[in-house]
Amino acid sequence: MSIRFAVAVLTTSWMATLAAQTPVTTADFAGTWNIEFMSHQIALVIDAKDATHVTATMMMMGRDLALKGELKDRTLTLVGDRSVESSTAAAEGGPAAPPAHDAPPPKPIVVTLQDDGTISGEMMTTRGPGTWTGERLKKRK
Amino acid sequence: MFVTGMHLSRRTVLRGLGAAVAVPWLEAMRPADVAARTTLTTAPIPPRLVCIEMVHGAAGSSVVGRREHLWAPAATGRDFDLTPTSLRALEPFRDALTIVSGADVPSADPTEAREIGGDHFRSSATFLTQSYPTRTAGAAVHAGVSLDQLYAQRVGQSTPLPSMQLCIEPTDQAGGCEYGYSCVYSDTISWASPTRPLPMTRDPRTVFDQIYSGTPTGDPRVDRGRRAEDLSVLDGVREAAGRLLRRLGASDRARLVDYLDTVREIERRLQAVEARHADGEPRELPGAPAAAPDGYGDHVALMADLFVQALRSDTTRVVAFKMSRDGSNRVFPESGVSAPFHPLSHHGERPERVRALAAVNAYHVRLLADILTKMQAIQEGEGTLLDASLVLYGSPMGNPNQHNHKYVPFLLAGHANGTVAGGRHLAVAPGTPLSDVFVGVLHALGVDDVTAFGDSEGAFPLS
Repeated sequence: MSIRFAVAVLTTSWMATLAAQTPVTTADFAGTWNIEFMSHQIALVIDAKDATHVTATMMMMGRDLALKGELKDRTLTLVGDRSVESSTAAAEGGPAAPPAHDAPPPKPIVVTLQDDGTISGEMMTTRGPGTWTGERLKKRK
Repeated sequence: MFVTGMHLSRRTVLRGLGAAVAVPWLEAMRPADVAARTTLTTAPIPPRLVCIEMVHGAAGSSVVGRREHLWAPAATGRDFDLTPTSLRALEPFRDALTIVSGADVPSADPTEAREIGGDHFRSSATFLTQSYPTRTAGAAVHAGVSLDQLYAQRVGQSTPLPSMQLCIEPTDQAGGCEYGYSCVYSDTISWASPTRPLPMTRDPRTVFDQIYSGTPTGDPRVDRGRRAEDLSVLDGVREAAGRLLRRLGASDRARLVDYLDTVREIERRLQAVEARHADGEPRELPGAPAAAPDGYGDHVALMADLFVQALRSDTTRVVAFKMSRDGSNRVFPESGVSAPFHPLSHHGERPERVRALAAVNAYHVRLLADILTKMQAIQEGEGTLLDASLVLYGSPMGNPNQHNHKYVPFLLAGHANGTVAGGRHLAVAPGTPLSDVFVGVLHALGVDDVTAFGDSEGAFPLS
């Protein structure tokens, strides 16, 4: 094994360990995410409220779903937020969205921050549970 | 070459009652003496441009498809093998092919939360504009000038039709589509300005009339009567054609007769389709124009025959052809696949589904090969119509399973009057926008003063 290769392995290992040990905060989840789930794209917008709590909106097909969540370790658990009426897509030119409490998620949505900066998770649908991945929405150049 | 001594204008038109049939290239259109030919006193026609959009990306842009080379060949350069690809029907045209792989269309990517998932409703607007379409369901649409229109504004003003915009699927879904996008973004690929999308014509009869009917006489009996009485547009120009034929040399006579026969053959097909659909029987495509064949391949072939004749007669030099519509659930039995197009495009990276989509892609490419065959069969000077043209074929979507716009399928065919060598597979650097390739296309077409197009970052040379 060459010295250069050994240094690379050690560096990679050290960075992975560092990433695992770096505390994750809700700020790391905050922003707009492009979720790929069962061959479809869904927007997930997360706002950090404090170090452990967030509010979020999931947008699909012009429908908004209000969520709230709590961070534990590197995992954020989101549930339907019945206290919030959904914003309407109609205000922004899209079809009107139903009130958020019309369609609360049947099970919590689990969101995990990955070392590469993406997120992944699980979500229950009428067709059963499914996993998804998400990356931050890129800014236009 | 047979030179009679007479010189015909490239703009020669056979005129008659309610008909105007432009004449194709003939040897008599060359300057009669060698000196004039070498000094090019007759300006050559600029390269003809045909832009063809297919929706839903390609199987070859998926993870599985890239590994199996289902779109772009494995090798770059000249020694590429089309066998495993969806492009294998283009093997007879490999010397005329320039496959450009690896480009992205970032202008179709979402840039705000409410745009996520709306790719089908903005994708087509980006194909030829390479510009970000503003999300609006109202009238304030905004994208960019499309490649075909930019070129038409340079070379289309001296032809009867500055450009033609054609399509196969219905595009009359007025108002708003989903995700807050106007339907016009998915209805057309041609934009005369960032705020002026151009309608696309689905009806072959309308296209035929645009090309051959000339100025209406104002007499409804004449203008409508020909169709009602099953007469030919050639009946109106028979005398003019006879006079011209008598003046031509043998090879030009054969060329003109072939052209007029082709016009008549297209007209007969139109009339046959219209007659079939006049009996009131339910159609496979309810609401489709009477002259539009229900069969997808038949409709594409008819539209292609029309625009190839329009190019041949220099009635137009620019064609935009939208071969499908985002979200189309059409089934293509000729592909050997029975699954509808859109659901099939969400293949889930399952290899058997990806390969089925590749079979559909290959079917569409076979239709492209048919178009190239028609263009190659038409002699113009020392070359063919295909030599004198650049045919652009591709999709603004890459992997439809993710609705992404990366590694989009794209190729060029033809030599653009000799400026594009062909016979090559060019791979762009990762992250290169397709708009860079479009700058290269414009340069190949002779539009050298354009240094940027859409969201381009540079120019990708084709030669």
